[in-house]
Amino acid sequence: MTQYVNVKPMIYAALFAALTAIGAFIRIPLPLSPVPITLQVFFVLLAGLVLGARWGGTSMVVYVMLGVIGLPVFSGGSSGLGILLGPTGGYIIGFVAGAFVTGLIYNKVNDSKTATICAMIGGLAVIYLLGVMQLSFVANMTLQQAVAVGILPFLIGDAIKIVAALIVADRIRPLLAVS
Amino acid sequence: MIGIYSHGRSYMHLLDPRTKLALMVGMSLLIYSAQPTALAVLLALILLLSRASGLPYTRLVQGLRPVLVFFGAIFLTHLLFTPGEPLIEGLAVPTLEGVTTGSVLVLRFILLILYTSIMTYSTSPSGLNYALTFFLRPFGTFGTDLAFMTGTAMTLIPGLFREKDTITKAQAARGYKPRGMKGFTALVVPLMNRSLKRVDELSDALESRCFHSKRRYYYYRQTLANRDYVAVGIYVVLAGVVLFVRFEAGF
Repeated sequence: MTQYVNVKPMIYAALFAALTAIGAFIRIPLPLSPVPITLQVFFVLLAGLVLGARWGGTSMVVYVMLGVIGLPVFSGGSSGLGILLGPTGGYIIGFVAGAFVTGLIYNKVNDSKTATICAMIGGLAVIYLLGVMQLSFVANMTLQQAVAVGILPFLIGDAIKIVAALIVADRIRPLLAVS
Repeated sequence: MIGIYSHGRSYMHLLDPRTKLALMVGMSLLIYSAQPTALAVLLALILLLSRASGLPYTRLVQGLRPVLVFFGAIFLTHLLFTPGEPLIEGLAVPTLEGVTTGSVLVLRFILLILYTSIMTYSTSPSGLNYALTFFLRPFGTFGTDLAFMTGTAMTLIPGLFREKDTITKAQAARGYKPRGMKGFTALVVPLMNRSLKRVDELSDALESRCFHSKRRYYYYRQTLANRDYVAVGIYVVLAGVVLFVRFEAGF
């Protein structure tokens, strides 16, 4: 049975890939900051929490495929292999690893709020790690320079996304359990 | 169709998607290994290809807009932190070396994006999806599954946009202004709720028709034509020249 009937996880993975894709276009203004936050990283972490390591990671592979075949799904509406191989490509590849790691940590620990936050911070750290590695390698920067350009401007927004993902994941998981 | 793709009958459009995908990867490697002189040649080639495929220059450079700020940050970093000969008397930065390394790097990134824009302009998403599946064949059924999921996600995106619009408009009609954390959950929870219902129906429909993994989803077939071999030949000559210039001539 289980060997063949695996349509549902595949469809869920496709859904989360599509959600991550439109996440770049959903902007919500923040009370204090002038820069609105987008939902992209939020859906990456959510995919890891809700779908688990294997299917969360797969859904992000699908997201990368969407961008490579030319849909404007990368941040800011960009697309194509050029973005993936360029200075910001590490973050996109990091989405795959990030969702995977979030799911991995989340499945290992108990279902408490602290554990969920730890799982998401782990996932986010992996996204940043890969992003900065590619940035410093491709753009010929030192690690400190890459961190200054590629991490520091985004830290506050991402902290908010973690809290939001925590709230939403709690309210979404019952919907998945019923199905 | 969303995205940059546009239907056409140009030489670029008629090339096999697999050839174009392989050339995209090949050209990216070439752009990364090119020296300033070779970069100028590649830029000329890109403008020529854009003209040949019928892609107007205004739309060609549109792909750059989202990443421009980031490229600017990269350029500035190199401008301010490269030691060397100062441009302005009395100041340590900016240096001549900083300007050259920064602009060569940013030019490379720009060429990379321009080139892939031409390719995605002249290749349909389904065509490229097929090409990706073809190159993923060593991974067994994972490749076909991935193609199926990518195709499904492609069809889901317009629907999700509609759902998002419906939700935000309904909330706006009731005088709600999304802001901060509350605005976050107020949009995402109903969006997830509705879209999960939709994909549950979809997967039920697929399952009840005995759809499963480990089968072929794609019936898109194309065979390599002479023009594909010509394109690869041109690329090989170009790569030879660029690499020769870099490692032998040295300019």
